[in-house]
Amino acid sequence: MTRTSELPPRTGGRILFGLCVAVSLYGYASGWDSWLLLLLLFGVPVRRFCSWMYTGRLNRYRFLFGIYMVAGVIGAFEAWQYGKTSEFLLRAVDLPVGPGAPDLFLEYDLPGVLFELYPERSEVLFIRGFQMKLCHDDLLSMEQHSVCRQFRNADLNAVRECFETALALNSRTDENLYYHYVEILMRQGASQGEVDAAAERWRRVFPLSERSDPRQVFVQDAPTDAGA
Amino acid sequence: MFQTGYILTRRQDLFWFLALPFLAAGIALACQQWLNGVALVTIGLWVTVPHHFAGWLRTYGIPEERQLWNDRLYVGPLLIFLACIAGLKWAPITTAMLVILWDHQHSIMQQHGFARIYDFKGETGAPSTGRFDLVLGWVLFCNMLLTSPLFMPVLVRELYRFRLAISPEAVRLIGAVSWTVTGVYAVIYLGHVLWSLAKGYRINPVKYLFIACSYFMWYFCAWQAANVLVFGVAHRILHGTQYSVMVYWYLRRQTMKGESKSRFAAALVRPGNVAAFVLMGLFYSVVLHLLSGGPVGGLIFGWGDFPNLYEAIPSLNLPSMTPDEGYAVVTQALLETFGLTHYYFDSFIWKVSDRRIQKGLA
Repeated sequence: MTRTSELPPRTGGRILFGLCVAVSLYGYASGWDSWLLLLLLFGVPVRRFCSWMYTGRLNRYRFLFGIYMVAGVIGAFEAWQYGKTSEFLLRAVDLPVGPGAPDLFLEYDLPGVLFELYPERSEVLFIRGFQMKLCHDDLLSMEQHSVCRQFRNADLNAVRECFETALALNSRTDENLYYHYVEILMRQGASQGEVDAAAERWRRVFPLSERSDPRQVFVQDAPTDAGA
Repeated sequence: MFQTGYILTRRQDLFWFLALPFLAAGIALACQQWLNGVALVTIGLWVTVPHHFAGWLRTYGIPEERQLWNDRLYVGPLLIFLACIAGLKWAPITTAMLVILWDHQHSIMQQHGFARIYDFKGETGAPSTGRFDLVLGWVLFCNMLLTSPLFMPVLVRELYRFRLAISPEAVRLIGAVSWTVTGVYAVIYLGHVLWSLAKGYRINPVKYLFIACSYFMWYFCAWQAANVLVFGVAHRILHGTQYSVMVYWYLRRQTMKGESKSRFAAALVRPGNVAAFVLMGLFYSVVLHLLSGGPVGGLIFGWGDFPNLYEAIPSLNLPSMTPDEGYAVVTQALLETFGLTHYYFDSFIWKVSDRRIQKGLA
């Protein structure tokens, strides 16, 4: 006879639930955060519910249930992180407000990490160049963001070089690359022929794009005679 | 030792299941070389959406099978729809990742399903072969996602969006572990095949060819081309076409038995009527695309666009009407024509002076 058969069914679950309640009471007295107490109290019932979903009357929905359980947990984390959870709820369970969307170009060095791993990918070269452009556009960024310090000596020529290497790979899927290449050419004061060719290539590769012609959008960025 | 069996026929399998992956990869490379980025949209409209229609037909087309699945066919879509609405509002990144990952799981399972049919038709394989095939599919596909230069940057980016700043070293370690697991499992899988043979089970060589061709295409597109357009086009052609072919033959065989009460599905798949099946799928795709406000150019690789209805007026600083705006105006106008018919009919169907009308009013 096995050890488990000596115990009545569900005894293990009841012991676990009792243990959770006892720890929760201790936690409450010790001032633990509410979300932790709730997790402890609801852990066992949720596990029972999941088990019932997989074996009970509605088990024909177990596939859908499994997918949405996983997606639900990740989605709840995302909603919290991006500040889409109500403050009332957060206060009620003692959770801090989510940190919000990360800045992948200046706060984190995502382009740098990807460039180290995949230096010959078109998308990676584009975001690397775009990061350079962001740092170059705002001189304050150079001081504020450590990721910008690596571009101290970079100028629009370096950005253009990055974009042109990416374009040579002929990815044809990243519209931003084709679009902002026109911007860089205009800001660099490239010849009208070069700008027109780049804008026509953008329109040819993305004929259904709803964006306005970059030559009109970035016209104020082009160097003027006075400024040149 | 070997026992060949085919899903359809030898010739059809050679085209639809063995040659199609290479053809799809060739078409995808041609799209990258000569077409624009809209190719992905257009292939989606001509192949993927019609394959959804085939899915609807397969699911709801045979009344006897519909009764088998019962409430899942009605409650399931409702739950998915509601969850998507909630997901798009509160957790759009998770929802997008769910759609992508579920699509990948669906692709693995489709190829696995075809592999099972090969064993079923060939009466081959040990009872445990199905599980080994399934794990092979998962291992190969996950390895592709975790190591290829096409998918890994996307995964890294999504982790960063969750503030999980993974380092380049960690990415390399994941890749090394993934390749090791794949290598070890390949040995185990081969061992199982040899064990099956030693135990007297026969194997279907066409199944292994089919698995090799499918994964060759995916790996080639994810590693060699490493391009979203190439992978997307090739994958959509392979997945959508094979699914539609399978549905066509399955429904045809089911409805030809004469026991089925299905009329619509039977009419679409009866011998000599394959054009109706294809056209219905395309019609569904075009209607869905236009109703959802998709641009006309999306149907034809962006070559055609809606005519420009209003030119720019520079003196008033007014830009020209965009093709999409023109499209919206014309579709709105077409809907308004229903209003015109209403005005027209009401001009003569309510004549109180008419004796026949008076009967309805008395």
